[in-house]
Amino acid sequence: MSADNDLILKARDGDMTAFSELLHRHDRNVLALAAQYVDNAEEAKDIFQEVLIRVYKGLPRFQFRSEFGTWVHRITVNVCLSHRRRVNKGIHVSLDQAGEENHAMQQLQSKEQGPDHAAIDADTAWHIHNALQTLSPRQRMVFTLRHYQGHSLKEIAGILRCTDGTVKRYLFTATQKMREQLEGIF
Amino acid sequence: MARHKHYQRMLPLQLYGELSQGEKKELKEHLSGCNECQKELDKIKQLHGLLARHPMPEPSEEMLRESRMHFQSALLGERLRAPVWDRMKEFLSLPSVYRPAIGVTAAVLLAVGFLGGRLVPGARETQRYARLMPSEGLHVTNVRYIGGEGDDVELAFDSVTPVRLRGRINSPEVQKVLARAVMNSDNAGVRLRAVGSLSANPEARIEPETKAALLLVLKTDRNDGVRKEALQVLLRSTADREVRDGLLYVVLNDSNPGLRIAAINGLASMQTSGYQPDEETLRALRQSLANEDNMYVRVKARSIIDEEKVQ
Repeated sequence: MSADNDLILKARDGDMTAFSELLHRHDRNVLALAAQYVDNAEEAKDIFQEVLIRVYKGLPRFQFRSEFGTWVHRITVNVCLSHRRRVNKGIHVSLDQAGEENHAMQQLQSKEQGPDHAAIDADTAWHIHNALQTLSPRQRMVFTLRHYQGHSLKEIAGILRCTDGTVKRYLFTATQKMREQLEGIF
Repeated sequence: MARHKHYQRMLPLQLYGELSQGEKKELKEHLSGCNECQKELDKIKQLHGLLARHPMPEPSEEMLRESRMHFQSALLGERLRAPVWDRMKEFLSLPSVYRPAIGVTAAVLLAVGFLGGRLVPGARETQRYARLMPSEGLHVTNVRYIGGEGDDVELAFDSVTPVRLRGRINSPEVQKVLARAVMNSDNAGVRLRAVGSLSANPEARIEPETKAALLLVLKTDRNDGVRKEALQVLLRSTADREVRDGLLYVVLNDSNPGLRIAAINGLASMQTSGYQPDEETLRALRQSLANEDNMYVRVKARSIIDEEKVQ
């Protein structure tokens, strides 16, 4: 990661090429987490942009106490959580918007499946999507980080700045809710 | 019941390998004699199976590229939106002859004693600006009534000093003003003349701030002429990643085929002059090949890709 540190120092001196290179090493993970968390391409792009702008603004204050990637990851989690709060505060999706979202979803690529399974898969994916929506932002984030991103509970506790016990509680509740929501299609 | 809850909390952790050896042993012993918890474990396993069969979709390369481009535009805007204090320092650091040229719009307070001609006692700033008014001939707008007591009255207003700036095109002061004109003017004619003054002068050297403004304009200005002029200036500047990203953005997104042609030509020139396209550029060009209506752009994109293959 010392190569990251070299780029950070150059970027701080105004070298935008170094800044771009630094971001290109980590921005794929930012988009992946954002896309897994919101499950919507346009919202994921918004989160991506906000995270990287925060990285740009915060870079002069980065103190090398953690890996750069960990720092970016933490910012991504925070932006995701605050984004979810904003969305929950009262944006309602119209039918037209839902159509646009479906279009935007095409930018999220699923693993290739045969055409016979496409309809069933889309239906199941819709149920999974809805089940995830029933989780609170923190439950969903813990579930995403543990189940989809493979972080350990200890790492998640570090990212969310809470105790292992709290993470376990979120994970348990999230699993319970997911199980209850999806029980009919196992 | 509470005992079941204790073990059921352990079930997800067991599946994620997050239990200690002691906890694993304890759970195993409980499960061997508890149908309820065993059933719960089976259901969670089924949930995991379902989720494994339907993994979360991953962002495509196209989505990543689009996200990067949108971020680049936002970043340029951010770089040009310097904090107020930075702008003030920048303003104060200019030679005094240039200071009025910034066209400062300042909200200043004016206190007027109508009867006694007195100023509000102790308001030094107020006095300073009040003296400016008759001597400097400020253009006053947006006058607000703040309050009054007795014969004193307090007003607020915005003042603008129109100033002419004369200097060489390569001077940082001139380029700063031009960059702000390009960025901030609502009038397309003003923006066009600002960019045009750079494109018309082949000796113009592009300062970083001006370059950032031009890249932002290239991607976001609604006026075709302004974007075209910005592209011409950028094509003369040093070939680097920012310029390449700007050109790719135009090739993939601009609605004007003439601009897309100029941009693809610019990318070809960069390649000829030794700036080889990387994998990201090649992916973007392949996307252009798939979506582009204009045959010239497609042919040129193909030629850049083929040229890279040869090398």
